[in-house]
Amino acid sequence: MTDSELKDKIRGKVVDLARARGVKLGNIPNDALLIDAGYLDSASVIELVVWIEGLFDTELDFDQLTRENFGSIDHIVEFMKSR
Amino acid sequence: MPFPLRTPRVNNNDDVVRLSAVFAKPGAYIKEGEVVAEVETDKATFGVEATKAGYFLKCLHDVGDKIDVGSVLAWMGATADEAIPDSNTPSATSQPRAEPTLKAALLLRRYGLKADDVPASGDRLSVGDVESYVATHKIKPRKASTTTTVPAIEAFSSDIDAKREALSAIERGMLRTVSWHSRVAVPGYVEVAYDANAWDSYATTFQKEHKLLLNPVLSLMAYRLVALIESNPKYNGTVDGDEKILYQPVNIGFTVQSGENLYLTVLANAQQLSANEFVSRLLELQKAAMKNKLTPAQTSGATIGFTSMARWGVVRHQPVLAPNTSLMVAHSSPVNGQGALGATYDHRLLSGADAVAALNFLKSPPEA
Repeated sequence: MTDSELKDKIRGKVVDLARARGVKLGNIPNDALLIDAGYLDSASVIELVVWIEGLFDTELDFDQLTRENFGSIDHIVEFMKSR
Repeated sequence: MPFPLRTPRVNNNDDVVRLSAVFAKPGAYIKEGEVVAEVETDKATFGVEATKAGYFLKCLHDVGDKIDVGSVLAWMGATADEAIPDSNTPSATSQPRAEPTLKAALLLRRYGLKADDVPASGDRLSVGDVESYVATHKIKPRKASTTTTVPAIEAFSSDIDAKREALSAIERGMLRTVSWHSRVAVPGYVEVAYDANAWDSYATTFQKEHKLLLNPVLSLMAYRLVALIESNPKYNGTVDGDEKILYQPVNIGFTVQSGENLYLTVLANAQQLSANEFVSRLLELQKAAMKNKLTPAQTSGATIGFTSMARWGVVRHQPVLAPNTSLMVAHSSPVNGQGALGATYDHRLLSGADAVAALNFLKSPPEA
């Protein structure tokens, strides 16, 4: 899967989670901060993390769940590809 | 001693049901309430639950068999290798269970017995039958208890056409919880206003200090609840008969919604954790809940509880007490920086003043 395909896949999940919260969505830029911009709340971020763990068939440590690694779609792809 | 699982009645008008599935394997250990088989009629299906814990010995029928209601469907025992009674013994297998009279049912409950345990002298199980049985076996009435077993209620009866389905394990858990809340505890509810900005500021500072992805405000409020126990151990207890039970560990229950399932996840020995360890462990529990992979230890044994419906914008809610606890704190969605903290408490152990004192302790973060 290319980075672009992966970002689209993650964006699709973020859209699902945001819509479930009743957030009205425009485009979600790859560098948008998902929590600060209001797309996701804490619970939906945990859902996203669980989904990503399933996608990559891995378990993430608490220490890895940082804003630097999971703040935006760009951050997530960069971090997961670097593991 | 082996004990029978009898064929349940699915519909008022059907005296025969068909065995549609057997889930339990011979030799398997079965918990009380676990569904071991399923029977059906043309109108409904019904899960057959183990009446008490034990080993599944043998199902006497094959899937597809038509079976008389009340007859023995299967045998269970205290060990996996117990011999089952001779199937040709009429009293063992083919006689429908004698329904107890109302007074006999109350007496059975007083002694902690089931109707299956006591032989009936006539068509109905009578008070005399029960009295004779307890005298012969020297059984004493059981103490009043905070057991989470759902007390017997009047049998459901309706002429309305309906489908009957077994509750799922999660639904049965919720039923036990709300039944304990309504039938054992004496719930009261209090509420205080609080400054949500102070808590947000505290949590944001904590988040930056520990480089956390998520704002830990709910986890930190729950952690504050753990600290509350030091001031009054009664918050971490319950009542059994005329005694109070004061738990030594603080096992905090924390609700997590996962799809349609609401879990009360339990973080045991929370009093031993630092704030950051607590936040970390709670996150792991939330992840396990969202994967529907919680272990039994992670969903049982709560001694105090915390719940929030802020995620859905709920500004006030009265939570249900977890079984055998006395305090469940409810966090809601703040409006313009002003929030409401509520608490359901068991009035048998805590007063309204106790509950208000708990909320006043919680409404400010530690350093404010």
